[in-house]
Amino acid sequence: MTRDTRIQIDKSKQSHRKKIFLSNKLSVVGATIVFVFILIAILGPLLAPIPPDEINYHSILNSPSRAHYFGTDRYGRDLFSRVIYGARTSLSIGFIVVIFSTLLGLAIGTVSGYLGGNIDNFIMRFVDLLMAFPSVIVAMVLATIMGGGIKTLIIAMLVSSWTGTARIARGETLSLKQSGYVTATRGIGGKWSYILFYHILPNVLPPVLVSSTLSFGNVILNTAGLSFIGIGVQPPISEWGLIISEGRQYIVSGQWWLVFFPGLAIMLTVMGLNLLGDGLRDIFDPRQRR
Amino acid sequence: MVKPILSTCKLKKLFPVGRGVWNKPKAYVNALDKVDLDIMGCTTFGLLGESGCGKTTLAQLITRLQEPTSGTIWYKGHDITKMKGRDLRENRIYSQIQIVFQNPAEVLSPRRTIDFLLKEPLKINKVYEKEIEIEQKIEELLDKVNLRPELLTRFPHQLSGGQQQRICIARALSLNPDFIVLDEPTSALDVSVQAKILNLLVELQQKERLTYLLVTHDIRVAEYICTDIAVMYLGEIVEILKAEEFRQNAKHPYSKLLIESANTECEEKDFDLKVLDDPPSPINLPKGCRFQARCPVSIPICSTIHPELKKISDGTKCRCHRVTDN
Amino acid sequence: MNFSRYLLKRVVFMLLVLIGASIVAFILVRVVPGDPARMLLPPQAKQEDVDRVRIKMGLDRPYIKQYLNYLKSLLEGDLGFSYHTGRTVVEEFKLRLPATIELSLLSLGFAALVGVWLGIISAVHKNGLIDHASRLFSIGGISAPGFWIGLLCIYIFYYKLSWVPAPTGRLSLTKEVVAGGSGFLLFDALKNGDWDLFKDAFMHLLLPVLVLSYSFLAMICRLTRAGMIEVSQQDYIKFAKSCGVKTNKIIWKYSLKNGIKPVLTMLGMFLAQLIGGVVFIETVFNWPGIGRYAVDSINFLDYGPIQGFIIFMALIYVLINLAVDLIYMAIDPRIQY
Repeated sequence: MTRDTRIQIDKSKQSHRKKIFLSNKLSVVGATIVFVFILIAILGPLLAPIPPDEINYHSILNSPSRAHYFGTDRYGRDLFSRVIYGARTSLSIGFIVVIFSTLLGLAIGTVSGYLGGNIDNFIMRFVDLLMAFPSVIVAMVLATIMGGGIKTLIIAMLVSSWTGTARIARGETLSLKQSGYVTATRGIGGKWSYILFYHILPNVLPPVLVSSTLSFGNVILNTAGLSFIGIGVQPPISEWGLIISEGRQYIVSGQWWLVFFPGLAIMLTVMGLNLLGDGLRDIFDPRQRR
Repeated sequence: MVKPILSTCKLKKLFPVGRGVWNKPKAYVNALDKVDLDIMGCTTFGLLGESGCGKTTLAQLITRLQEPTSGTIWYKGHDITKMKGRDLRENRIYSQIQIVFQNPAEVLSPRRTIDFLLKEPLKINKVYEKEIEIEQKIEELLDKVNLRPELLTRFPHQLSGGQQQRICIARALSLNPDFIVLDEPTSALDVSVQAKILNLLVELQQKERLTYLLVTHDIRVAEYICTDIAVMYLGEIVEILKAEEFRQNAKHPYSKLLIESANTECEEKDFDLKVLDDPPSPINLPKGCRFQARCPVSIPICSTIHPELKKISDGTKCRCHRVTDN
Repeated sequence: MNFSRYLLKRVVFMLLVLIGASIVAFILVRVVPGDPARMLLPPQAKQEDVDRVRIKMGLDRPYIKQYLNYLKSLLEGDLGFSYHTGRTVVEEFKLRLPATIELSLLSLGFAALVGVWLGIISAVHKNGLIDHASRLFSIGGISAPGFWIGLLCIYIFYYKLSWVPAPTGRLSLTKEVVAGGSGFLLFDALKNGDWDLFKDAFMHLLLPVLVLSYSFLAMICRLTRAGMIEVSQQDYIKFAKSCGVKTNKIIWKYSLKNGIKPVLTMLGMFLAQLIGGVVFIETVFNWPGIGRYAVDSINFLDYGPIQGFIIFMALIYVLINLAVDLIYMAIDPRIQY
């Protein structure tokens, strides 16, 4: 980065950043969607008209109506309530995975970049190795060993998602290590732990947060996908992918709502997260603007 | 005889280039080659040379930001070369030897307020116990560098280049150092601001009894505030003399070239040796005199024998076969 | 770094990936519950029979030895044995591989062609109607799960409109795979001049290919657009324009070569995701390929095919990445490894 662009970036401070973010309508839309879904997840029990697992044999496979906004499934369970509860499952799994993978990736990436040398080499080769396996395969292997379920799902996605964060954090740390203020802080006697915490971490954080937001969407997609093929969340928990999998056989006989609504929820959530992530990236890093 | 406050003995720094099998370097850059220096207390010692000659490396070695490959640095009679991070902190070497960098915008972390940045050295070195003492010290420092306390709440990018550099100077002063390395302190600034910063530095030197090591490529800056000037070329010192004698009495052909190009320079910009090629590669050093390839007055011996730094007269040393005493 | 050194480094890394995969596959069977020897035998088998089989299988030897034996059998092309179907994994894979390859190659080709084309159009008409429409289309492709789109397509195009046949796999239930063919149905049907079979296979392929390619198409479109816009601001393009080179020529001859580079960089990643996507699409369309076989094997706890799947996917991944490196090098002569 040349000196001029750096100054330019530095000048984009709080107020300016807010302006960029608001001027990008799509990112505001994204933020709103995400906010709404988080609200739905938190307020789930209040919003759901009927408990999600209440079986009612008098209303099996009803199409969407006043009584059941999204229709009912083969046990007569209310799909609207199930989708609302599905938001809780998906978002909480997503949060857990993203928080832990961000922390893990941040810690390993910054330390690896800061130490450099052979340790850094070794860690990065290991990261490459992990990245060579698609997350679906990792999940399949773990599901075979541990059996399906939320725990397996979370571990599988952690294994395949911290590496991206680690790479970004390492790259940023490597360039920050050369920066003037790190040298200057060493000049006034700062210890490496001090420099890492006060000067490197605050600068590594923004790009890492952007990538975490984007990978949040991926985690939700993967959660749904793995539950769909039967190695993720297990019944009777309400989970979007699982609801689709349960409704799958009815698509060829015309009961579209069993598949449509949970999928729509997935798409909206992921879209919201992607738009939000893109917006954040524009604020923090004009270089990567697409 | 007065002892120097800081001296270096055969200071050498090699940088590895390229990595072969098992991370073994393929070659080395001779950034600094057996440099001997003696800097007296309360003087300003100037290091002059074009970019890439090793002057910044020397500055970073003296402030212990980089490890020398070999050689020793003596500070007030102590060998500080062997000291590692903790020893340096315990013996307060970090506090006593401070550095002001070339580009203040890069030195001040963009995400921190001026207040944080000024307090940082005091807090890291645990100089004071009470917050109020720190506040007082900050006020005093701002006064020293002629800045108003309103700036404290601002971020570095909201300050002008001159103000930023004043903050850097205040940060260096906050630990009450005896020795400050000034690494091109004015070259990133506008010309109008340069003089003000230099005057401030001179003023502070008198008030605080400081010793400066000034690294610069600008002859006028060196002449303006230095007592002694050492000219560097390709990692070694080619000439040392008193600053007031520099323009008239510099003997080394390279020094003369610098003076000449400073004189003919009509616009304000970094001087470059227009008439000549780039300096030879510091990886494959030429045999004999390092300046020989570009030297206008070279003789056959220059390409075979590497000249020593000879004493010409009191306070004057020169590394050239063509220059002898008298 | 010279080329041979770079290649050596890559090959070493690939071997590491493969060894890593083999270790994972080896450990997998050792940590799952259940005794592999007992699984081979009927439930009422006596302990001494089990022990005999254990010794025969080498399960009594130290783990290192067992692993080396496993590695040896892998190198001999033996991927293991499926308890569920009673055939070797290699046989099973041979049976299913053409289905997967047909599906994924067609998808990738379609995604690349249409994605690049759409990306260029969007870049040329930056911020125009087409650009906004294609962006919306891309965002949808990146955000919606493929299996969901697949199911919706089945509902619309099969149930409602009856444009495509029922999702019964590669062919209608009444049709049969050509015996002794290559397994690539389109190709076989053409060779035999069986127009009916070709049509049936094609109609069955249509939805899975389109759905599988959607998300890749979206990503390729976005990357191409970004790349083309960036390149169009470069001086050499401006220079070509100022020299009066025709717009079309500038796009196809000058910009594309550099503008498409981000796509190539990400190609390896796309393919890794394609491997994942295949699993879902094959499940949705009852496609008798490797992905669905892997899912079935997990549900039957049939470890042999899972082991084989891990090794196979690692191999594919490694080969794909090598290919991407070589393509990249061919397109950018500046890269000196």
